[in-house]
Amino acid sequence: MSGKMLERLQRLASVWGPSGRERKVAAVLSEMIAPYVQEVYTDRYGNLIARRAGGPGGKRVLLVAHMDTPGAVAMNVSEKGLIYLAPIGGMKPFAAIGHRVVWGSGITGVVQHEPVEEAKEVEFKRLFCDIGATSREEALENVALGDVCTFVADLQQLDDLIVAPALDNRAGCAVLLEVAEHLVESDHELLFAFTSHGEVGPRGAGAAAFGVDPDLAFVVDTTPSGDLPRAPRVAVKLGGGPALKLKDAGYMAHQDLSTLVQSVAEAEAIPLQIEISTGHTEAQVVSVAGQGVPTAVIDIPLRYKGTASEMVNLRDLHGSADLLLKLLSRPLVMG
Amino acid sequence: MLLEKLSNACGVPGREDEVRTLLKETLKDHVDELWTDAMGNLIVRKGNGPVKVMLDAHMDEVGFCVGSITEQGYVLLKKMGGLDDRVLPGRQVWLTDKRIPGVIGAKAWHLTTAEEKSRAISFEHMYVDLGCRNKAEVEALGIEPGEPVYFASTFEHYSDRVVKGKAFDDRVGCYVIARLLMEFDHPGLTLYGAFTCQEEVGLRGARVAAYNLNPDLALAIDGTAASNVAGVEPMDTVTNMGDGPVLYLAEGAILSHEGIFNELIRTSLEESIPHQFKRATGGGTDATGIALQRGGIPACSLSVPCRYIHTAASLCHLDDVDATVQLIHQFLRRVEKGEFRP
Repeated sequence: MSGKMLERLQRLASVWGPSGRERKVAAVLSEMIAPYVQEVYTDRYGNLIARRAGGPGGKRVLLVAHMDTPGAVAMNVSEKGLIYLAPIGGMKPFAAIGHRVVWGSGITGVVQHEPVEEAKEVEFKRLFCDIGATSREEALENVALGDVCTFVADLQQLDDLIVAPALDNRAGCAVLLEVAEHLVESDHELLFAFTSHGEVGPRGAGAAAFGVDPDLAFVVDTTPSGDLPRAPRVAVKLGGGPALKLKDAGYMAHQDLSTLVQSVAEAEAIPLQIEISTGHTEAQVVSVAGQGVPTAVIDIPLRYKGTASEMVNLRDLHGSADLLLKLLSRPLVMG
Repeated sequence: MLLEKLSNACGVPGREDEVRTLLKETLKDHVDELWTDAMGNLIVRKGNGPVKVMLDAHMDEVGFCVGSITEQGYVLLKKMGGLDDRVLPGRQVWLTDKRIPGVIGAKAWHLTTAEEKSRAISFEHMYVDLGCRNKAEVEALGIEPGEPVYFASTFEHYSDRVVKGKAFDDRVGCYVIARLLMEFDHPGLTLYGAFTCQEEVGLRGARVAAYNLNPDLALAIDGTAASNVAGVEPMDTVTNMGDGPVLYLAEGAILSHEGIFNELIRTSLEESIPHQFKRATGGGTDATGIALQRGGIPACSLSVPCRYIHTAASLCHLDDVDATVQLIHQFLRRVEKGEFRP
């Protein structure tokens, strides 16, 4: 495994790209994947798609990772120049208080909440961003209504653990880049889709899958781990390896493809966790696109989803890339 | 006036015939082609230009259907679309497309307890009274389960520029598109007017229309909630009736296509047509259903702000309607001239 994973995460975690405003991150990903593919294009929905040609007898395989992050949109500006916010995607009000954010223009600010007596009074409506403006007019010169901000923070490494904003799902993007770089022998035609609107819906992946019309698909995403106090009872932990999702609130795994993933993990001695969760993934729109697409989800366990300090284990990222590389160097025959 | 006819026409989700017929009659001499698709959407085409643009407005309105009839001759309702229980008791309604009058009854004020007065009547306790003495009398009127029920509300002018009526959500959108088709030519475009069905129960018609038409871009024109009324702080009004067409900052169900959104703002500023933002999340329009079709269709919502939508009496400012027509016309000209592509 290359040491590039960390380098890639570092770069990707710092790129602004909330749902619906993915152009900047798409440009960065386009540059990062270009050396390993024959063609890169953006579809009508704003998904970035990179194609690596296949050989005779190969399948057409779609690899999906959403590139957008949660954020907050400017809804109102007070007379004092404070920008009131509404969430885009899964940003929680209590997770945003006290954090620094960056707007699309590069302007930064601090998110705070109106004073309250009790924690349960915290609500998004009363959350505002202070960009240092002293009047409504001054604030609007820098941030227009409709502009979106996202968390900004440096990436930190704690041994194998990585802490940064946007790891959901820039970690998945980094895994796809790793696969693109290291795949040597494969007759499969690969379509890497870095999708839009993954945090809201999800949506972009459905359009990407319809446009690509693949034989099968792998979705790489992060999933909240179950190894925290009062976490949802999901038997997935950080450092335990990639998780194969069998079911969530909008998706049932394709049985034959799941079996194949499990057997390859076993044959290659790659630790694999089995996940049954209550969330949503892009697989729910990919699997029903067009005439239907056999779809498997490889999830990277993640702690503190939707905060400025999301946490993943590098070993799980490497395990995910490894598993995909091993899968893609086989014929991918199901059933 | 066409908006008056559209507002007075009746059409709950799945029963849009009256609205469809009115639009067909109105538009048949102004468009090149006109058909109804398998779902019940009325589609009109004007022009044969290289860029395919879909203008969407839904024909259906929120209302009810007859759920059951009691032995005593009262009609129990099922809701069709989102309705607030608090605004229903005491409302006059029309049953079936024959507009048989009835009233959503409530116990007399004199008979209610203090506790009952302090809370809203729940929908399960509401019924329609038609003055019938038993089930047979109701059935003799042709009323049976499944038949539509509408707010009995007739269009009128409250002032020279403010009108009142039912179903402005979304007959005002139908009106805007009809005017665009009747008043302007855009020869550089293949302009589709898609008057869709079943929006209020899940954006159903628009999905089918967009899949079939596969346009290069789409605008969904709707009537949306305005709350610049007594007792609401300026920051909480969501939109203001009278402040111009509405662009959505963060529509719950879809984020507007960035390129179209920005071009509509640019058009508004350069042509001195007002616009405002919907300052709320949640909700959704046909733009959602359209955007997700096929490999993705660039789509954006543009709405006319109306007070009291989803009630018997919504209000709408004709200046907002005119500005919406103008903004779309100017936007289409830019598309036509190649100044904008999504």
